Amino acid sequence: MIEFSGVYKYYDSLAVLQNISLKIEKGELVFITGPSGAGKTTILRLIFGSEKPDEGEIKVGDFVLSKIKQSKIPYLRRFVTFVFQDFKLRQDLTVYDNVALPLLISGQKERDIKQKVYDTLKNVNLRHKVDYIVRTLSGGEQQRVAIARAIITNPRVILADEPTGNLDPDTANDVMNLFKNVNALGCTVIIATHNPEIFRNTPYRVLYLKEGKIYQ
Amino acid sequence: MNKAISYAIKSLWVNKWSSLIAMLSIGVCFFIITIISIGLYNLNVFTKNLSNKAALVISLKNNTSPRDISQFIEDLNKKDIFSKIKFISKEEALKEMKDLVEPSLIELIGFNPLPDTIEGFIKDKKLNKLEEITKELKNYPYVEDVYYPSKIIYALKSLKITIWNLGILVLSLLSISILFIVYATVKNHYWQKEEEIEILKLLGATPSYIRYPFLTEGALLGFGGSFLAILFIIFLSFILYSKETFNYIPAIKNIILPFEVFYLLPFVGLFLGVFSAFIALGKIKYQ
Repeated sequence: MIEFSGVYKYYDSLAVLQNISLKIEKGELVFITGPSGAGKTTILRLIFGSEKPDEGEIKVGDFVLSKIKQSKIPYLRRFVTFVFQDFKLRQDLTVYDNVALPLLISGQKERDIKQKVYDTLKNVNLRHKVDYIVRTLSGGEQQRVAIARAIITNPRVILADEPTGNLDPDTANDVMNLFKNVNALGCTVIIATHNPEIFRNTPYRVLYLKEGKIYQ
Repeated sequence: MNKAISYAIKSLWVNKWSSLIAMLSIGVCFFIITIISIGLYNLNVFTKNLSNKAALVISLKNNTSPRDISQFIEDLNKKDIFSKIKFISKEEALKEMKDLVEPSLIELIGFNPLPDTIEGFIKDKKLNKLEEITKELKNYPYVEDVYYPSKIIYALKSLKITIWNLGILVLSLLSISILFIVYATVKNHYWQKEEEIEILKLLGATPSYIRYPFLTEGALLGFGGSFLAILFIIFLSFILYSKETFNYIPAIKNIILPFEVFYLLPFVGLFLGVFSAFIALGKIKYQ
């Protein structure tokens, strides 16, 4: 599903990732951890097509990211979705409008969208807040809206960057359960976190990043 | 499509004052463009009519026989120089002269001093070859001399060319102004929505999905501006073609307002609006 072969990434001649080679299989849930500045977010950004590797090759499904054209990136982002630490939600819109946005972008019809939005919000326990303006919600609720938006198109891969970073332990636990539920349905989930509590005693694979190198 | 239009209208409404000013400025530019275009069109018609009215006069030698004259006229017709050829015999010319000059003066001369003449109305496309044509005609054995009000025609032609060049320059500058107004307005609205657009990119929106509302905005600005210009022109034509104006400036009657303006202008507005919005958006980058 996802394959890195000898990937290097530099920022101003500083190597953020050095000779990264890894494979993530379809349906896996993987944690990427390490100290701040280790390159966790860079790996996610590379998979999401926000960055290009300086050396090496990255494959995500049928997409070869080292050679990907700008025009193909929108389609990659329907295959791989991202849950951001700062949510990247439209604060001025309702929960419904935010969650419906990826379906509108992919050209689905209004009547199909409505049902899907309601079903997805039910899965993240936010059905009752469908008409709320996003800025009136708590951090945990906004994170669940972001997850609902990420899963509504049934992507093959979900990336999450510090998804529990701004949440209290109980809410963080709820959010992690949501990711596990999505993964149980066959979606590959990659979570970058520096919080060891999240992956302690879990059966899932954990990748350690330190100074741009990976330790499995 | 409907979503893009409603989104564009919403965006113009949110920035209603800047959009209104932009549309009014575009309207004024289009109004001036139309007035100049109508002016140039009328100048073209006027100079064409004038040159059609100015005839080249060929005076024939005294001893030219009627057979030679008809042969000569036939030759001239074949040459595709004149739109109309008219033969005036010396008797007809004398008759006309008698209407202009005291008949006793003519009788004093005792004979008809006027030659047979041919009046040729030169085709517009041949006007620039006037000198060559005159030279060629003078070579005919029956031709005494050739006269043409060439100085007036040349002066008119060069005046026309100067006005045309100035007109085209002003038209180009105004068209560029329209492009800049739409460019600045759309670019400004694009910057205002930068965060929103960033989210769209992250959710897999294609460049055309992102561009569409802004192109529609550009189209609405261009179309709206041209529509305002049409309203200004209709208003102006009501004033110009009124009885009161005719009394003061009778020449107004001769101005032709081409009807094509009314359906051509909205298309030009649409095209310029979409084109400059497209330029304003540039390339949508994801990396």
